[in-house]
Amino acid sequence: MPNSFARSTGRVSIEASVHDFYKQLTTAKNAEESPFLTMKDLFMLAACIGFQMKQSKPLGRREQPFHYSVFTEAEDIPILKAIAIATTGDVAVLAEPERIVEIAEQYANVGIHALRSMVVENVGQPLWNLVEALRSQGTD
Amino acid sequence: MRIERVDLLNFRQYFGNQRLKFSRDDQQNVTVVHGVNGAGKTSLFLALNWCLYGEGVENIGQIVSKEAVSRAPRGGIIETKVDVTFLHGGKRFTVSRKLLGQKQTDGKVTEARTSAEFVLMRTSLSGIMERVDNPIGIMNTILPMNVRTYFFFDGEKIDNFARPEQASEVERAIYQVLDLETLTRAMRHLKSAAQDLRSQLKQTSTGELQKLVAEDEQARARESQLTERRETLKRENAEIQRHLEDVNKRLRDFESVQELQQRYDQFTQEIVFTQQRFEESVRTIRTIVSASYVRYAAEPINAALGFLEEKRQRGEIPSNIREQFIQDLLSRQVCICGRTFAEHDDAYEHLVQLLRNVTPTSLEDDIIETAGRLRGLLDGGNKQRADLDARMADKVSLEERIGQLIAQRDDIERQMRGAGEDEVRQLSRQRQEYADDLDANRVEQGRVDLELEQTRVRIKELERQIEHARKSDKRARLLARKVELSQKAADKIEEVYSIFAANKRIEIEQETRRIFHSLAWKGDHFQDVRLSEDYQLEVIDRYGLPARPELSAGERQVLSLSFITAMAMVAQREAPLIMDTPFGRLSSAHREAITLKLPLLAPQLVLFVTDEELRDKALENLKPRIGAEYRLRFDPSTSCTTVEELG
Repeated sequence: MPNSFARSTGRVSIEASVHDFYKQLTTAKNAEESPFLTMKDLFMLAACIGFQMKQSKPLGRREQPFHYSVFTEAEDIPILKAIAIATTGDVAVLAEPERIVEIAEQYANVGIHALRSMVVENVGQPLWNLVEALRSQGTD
Repeated sequence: MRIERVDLLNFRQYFGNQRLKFSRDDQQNVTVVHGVNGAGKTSLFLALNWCLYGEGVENIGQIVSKEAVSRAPRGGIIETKVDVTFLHGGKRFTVSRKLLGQKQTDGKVTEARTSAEFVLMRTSLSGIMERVDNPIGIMNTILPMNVRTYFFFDGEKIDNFARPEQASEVERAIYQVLDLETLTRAMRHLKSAAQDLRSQLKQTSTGELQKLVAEDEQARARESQLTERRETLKRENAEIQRHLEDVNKRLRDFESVQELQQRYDQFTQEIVFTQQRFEESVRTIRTIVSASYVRYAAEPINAALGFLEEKRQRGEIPSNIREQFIQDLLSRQVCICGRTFAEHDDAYEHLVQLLRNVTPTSLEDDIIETAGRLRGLLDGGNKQRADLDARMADKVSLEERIGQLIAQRDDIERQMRGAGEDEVRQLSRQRQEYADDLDANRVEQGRVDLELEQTRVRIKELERQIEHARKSDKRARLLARKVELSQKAADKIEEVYSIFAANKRIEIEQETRRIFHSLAWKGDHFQDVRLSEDYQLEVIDRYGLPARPELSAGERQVLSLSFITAMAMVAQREAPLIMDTPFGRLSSAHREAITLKLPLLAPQLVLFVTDEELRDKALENLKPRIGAEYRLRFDPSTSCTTVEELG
């Protein structure tokens, strides 16, 4: 299947107000302070959390920190598609990469705040807070 | 502008066609139209105003000739028209304004005045008439509408300018006639533009750039401080490490603690090694955590797979029959069993229906591939979880191991102090101090690194903000320049305006004085005519005092007339003076003086007069200058006026 995401010149949008938080969790040298390797990973997690919360919010003033082309074909794109299908209840959405990403952006726009309180508003270091959250996620 | 001819058709009491030719002779430049009160002088005056400017007929009732209406059949159309032919700048123009009225069943007439047709024709030198495209614009350059009141004037209102309360009227007249309107408008626009720009400038924050630049300087100074401190700490670290190594080496030389020191070294090595493994484990955990969204995605994956499964069960995807296959059957119109079918029969319709429900091939491929990958990801998520658990267990055991190793090494340290001589004890203490120093040093290094990182982020941010502020600063400077320019231009125009207005006021004053002296009867009594700076038109008596309160109605009229004709002169517009009943309120002495001088004041003079106001000596004075003379005859039986040429 041709990867229409890779061919797209589109960029993923996040709200400008959370851009610093994205940077904070991806760029520090100490792994324990910056649990994410890339902003894309953080975005994907935020979108999944937003979906789980069943809450999405259109974006206000935006930043566009990365390209569609960083989404992986094996994992990211199928997950984004799953979110889009589960949201719209229509397989036709698969033909519209921009719409698929937009749906994820709006979930991530809510999920990122939940993630923030989970990761940095707890006492521990972000990495361990996140590990804790992940492991408790598995038990329910 | 010199008027050659006026043609009236069914205009008020002028029933049918009526024509007047005005004298255009340089010497005999006077045309006199006689008429008793009510004969139609004012109607004729209105006809000129209406034709040229479409004005002056607002409050005069019906324009269409009543006689023409009464003769028209019910429902009939009556045409009312005034043509004015004049010469201007060597060309002949004809202005024509036409109005159609329709006679109603009750005998009244409807006039659509606003739809009156206005045409301006120009005759070229070769005699060809051509229609002028922009009649209103052209009329305005010949004799502007707001100026014409000073050329076409109503004798009843003639003394207006000489009334004390009319200063503003005088001022306005001067503005209009001298085209000062253009200047005031330019001034007003420039001032309001300056105002707008000023408020825009206020919104464009100034001084922000300096603040940012100052902060940037500070941040960069701090960055180099921190970088320096980091280097110092590094050097100190290396120094301490060397000391430590030195101490360890010296301790190895003591036979009493040689074995303990060897074990100490082994533990140190293992601590370092375990710490490295710990760091590696943290990085691995981060890699797993960073990709942990795969596990979080279980919910949307399950939802999407469930949805697709439902669709599959309904037979919608993957359709057992492929799109291309159905299309092939439809085009061949032969079933795989060999049976043929035709368009619109049952088999055909069934296939069309199938095709409609089939998911397009490209989408179907996408669905199949996506579904396959999603199933794989569910497993991947579970594996990830197991992986994370295992790595966390590793990490915890490594942490514990480091703790143990350090405790064991401390124990050896204690043994060494107990077993050795004073020098060994001293070295051991030294080693402890160095280790503490190293620790403190690393803490500070961490702090410096963090601040350095934050400072660098801030510097990057400042770079962006400064760039932005530079742009808006540039905008602000541009705005300030625009404000300055528009204000300066407005001020300059104001200056030019006041100089021009002052000069023109003096010019008009001189002209008014000259004309007044030539017209006024009590020439000796009135010393001077003044047009004051606040536009009061005043006559100064021989005692040097304003004489206006004592002026008779006739004298006021002469003063006004002087002013008006002075304006006409200063305006430098070649236009006729057309006066409706100008002498009605003048004494015979004034009339005599005026009739002697008036023909000299304008290239063409047209007077609409009653027999009472123009007789005896006054008429005699005018006689040699009269080039055309008419009498308006009003017939009470038909209420119509006919124009009769005299002489």
